[in-house]
Amino acid sequence: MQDLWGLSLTLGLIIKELPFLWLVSLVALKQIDVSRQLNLTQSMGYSHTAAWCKIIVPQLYPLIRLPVFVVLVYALSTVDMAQLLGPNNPPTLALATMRWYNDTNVQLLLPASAASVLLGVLIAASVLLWEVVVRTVMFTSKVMIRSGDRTGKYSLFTGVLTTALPITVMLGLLSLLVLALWSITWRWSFPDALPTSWSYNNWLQLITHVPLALQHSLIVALISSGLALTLAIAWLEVQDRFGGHFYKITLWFIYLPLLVPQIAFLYGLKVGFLRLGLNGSIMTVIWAHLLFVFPYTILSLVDSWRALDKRYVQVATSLGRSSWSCFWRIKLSLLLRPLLLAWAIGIAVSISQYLPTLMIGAGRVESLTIEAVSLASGADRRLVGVYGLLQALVPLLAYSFALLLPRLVALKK
Amino acid sequence: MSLELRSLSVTTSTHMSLFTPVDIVIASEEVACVMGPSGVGKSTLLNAIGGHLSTHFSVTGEVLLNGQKVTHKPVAERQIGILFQDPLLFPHLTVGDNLAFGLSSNVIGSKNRRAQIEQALEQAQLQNFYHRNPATLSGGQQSRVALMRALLAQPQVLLLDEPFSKLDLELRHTMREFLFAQAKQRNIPMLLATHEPAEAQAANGPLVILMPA
Repeated sequence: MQDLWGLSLTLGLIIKELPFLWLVSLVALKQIDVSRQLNLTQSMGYSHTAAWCKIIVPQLYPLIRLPVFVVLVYALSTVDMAQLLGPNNPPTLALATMRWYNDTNVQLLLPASAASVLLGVLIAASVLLWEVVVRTVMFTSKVMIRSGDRTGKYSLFTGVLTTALPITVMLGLLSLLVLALWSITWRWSFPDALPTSWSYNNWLQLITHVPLALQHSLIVALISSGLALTLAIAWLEVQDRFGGHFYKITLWFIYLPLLVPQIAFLYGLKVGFLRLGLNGSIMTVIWAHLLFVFPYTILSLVDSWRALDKRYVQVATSLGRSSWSCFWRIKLSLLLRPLLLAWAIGIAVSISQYLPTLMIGAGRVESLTIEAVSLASGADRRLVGVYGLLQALVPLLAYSFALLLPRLVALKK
Repeated sequence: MSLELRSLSVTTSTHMSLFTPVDIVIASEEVACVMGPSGVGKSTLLNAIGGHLSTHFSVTGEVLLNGQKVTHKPVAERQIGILFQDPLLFPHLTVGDNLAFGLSSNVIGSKNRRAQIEQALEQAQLQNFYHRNPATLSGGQQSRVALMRALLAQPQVLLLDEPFSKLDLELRHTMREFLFAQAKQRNIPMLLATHEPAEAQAANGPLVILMPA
């Protein structure tokens, strides 16, 4: 990419992170009485948009603050996205750091380590700056609230936003479509709107290569998301039973791997595993993935878990059931949908991991993402089409499963 | 100021009426009561008048405010205030800011506005509560603030959906008297949904009894 301002990277990140933030916001909104508050505010003469901006959004933001930080950190520290879409010269700090780490010239380890620290500082400063901006906005809006201003100055602002959202989604879908097209293309030169010759060759040709990458990706994804889910359930249940002491602090600890740039600490992890002789084993890669899958699983599960009315279990135990039976048959059954969704998110996160598999796997553990990224930097877009599609397909299957299974279970009853 | 309901009824998406059509005129300073068995649709009637009906329902008949049809106007333009069962004080604003939010934009100038808010707090016997966090207030105090907030918006009509049902008897009595006094002072009609005959008696106004259709 030749653009100095990194616009393609920015756009790519927006497309990638939008579904995540949207999903998280949807879950968070369930905790606020949205419709009654909107009705109430409108009855005082505020337009729907004004009501949303002044009343709902200030209540929503604290609930999604942590996911927003996660997105901010990811944007600053992503290496694979920067490689594909970011500016070439100079590259983003995260990408430069990785190149220095991987360089054969060992002396470059020094600037690499320095850059890692710098990246950490940069992230901390960005998070701080973000919070300062948010608080300033909140403060100035309080002044506007006191003036009781009801006019719709928001119409332009929200007009832009509401058109931007479908455009972003469309862009994302279009790129997936193009990816699909490329995977069945034989020849597609620049001026043509569509490929000039089609072929299934790409898929056939890679029948020997794809299975290994697919295999490894699937094994790592399934095991790490399964483990993460079990751990998440165990942690949440222990919190419920033994009192939620230190809840907030432990939550920040869990999110730590997401708030620290991957490139910064994975290198240290790799050296550590090398010393222990554990590098390159699939179990270590699973463990490394778990570090990142677990926070996302918890993040997507915790709100629904805590929102479950405690009285269901109380009633069940008062009916004489053993606590294990209650837990299994009542609590987990009621939480089936959020549990499956958290699992699907875990799978998606694992599939998309690039650096952990690359660095900890030491080349012996393959993954769809690694293949896709290295191919994308090259010239053959047809192979990228195949790998990219597969990479998008696996999470899609997981989400479909997570959405369909509860319905099937409900139908059976 | 008057509120008139002409053959007002609410139908579901399958075109079934929830209750028999309502015809009533409520003049200013009058507090009308809507009564009926549980589940008949008192809240739905209030939502229909205020414009908050969910999309599952549709309105038949007319709602007239001071002789003008408002049945299909957007909520923000109707000037019909509503008070729900829960005070619904905005948790991210202080008590004073909640009131400031409700205070009509007709009142200009920060000094003026502040004065009106302090006056409202005094009327509600909540002086010096400007900077309090709503979560630290008792149920009765929250109800009073919610009521003042609704009134500060200078609505033409106030709808109340069993607003005092969660308070104890004595507090309910005090709030009721306060409410009736405000109706007289601000010269607006009010419509109160309730299932307490005592409240209807105390209101001494027009009575609407909803019957299932």
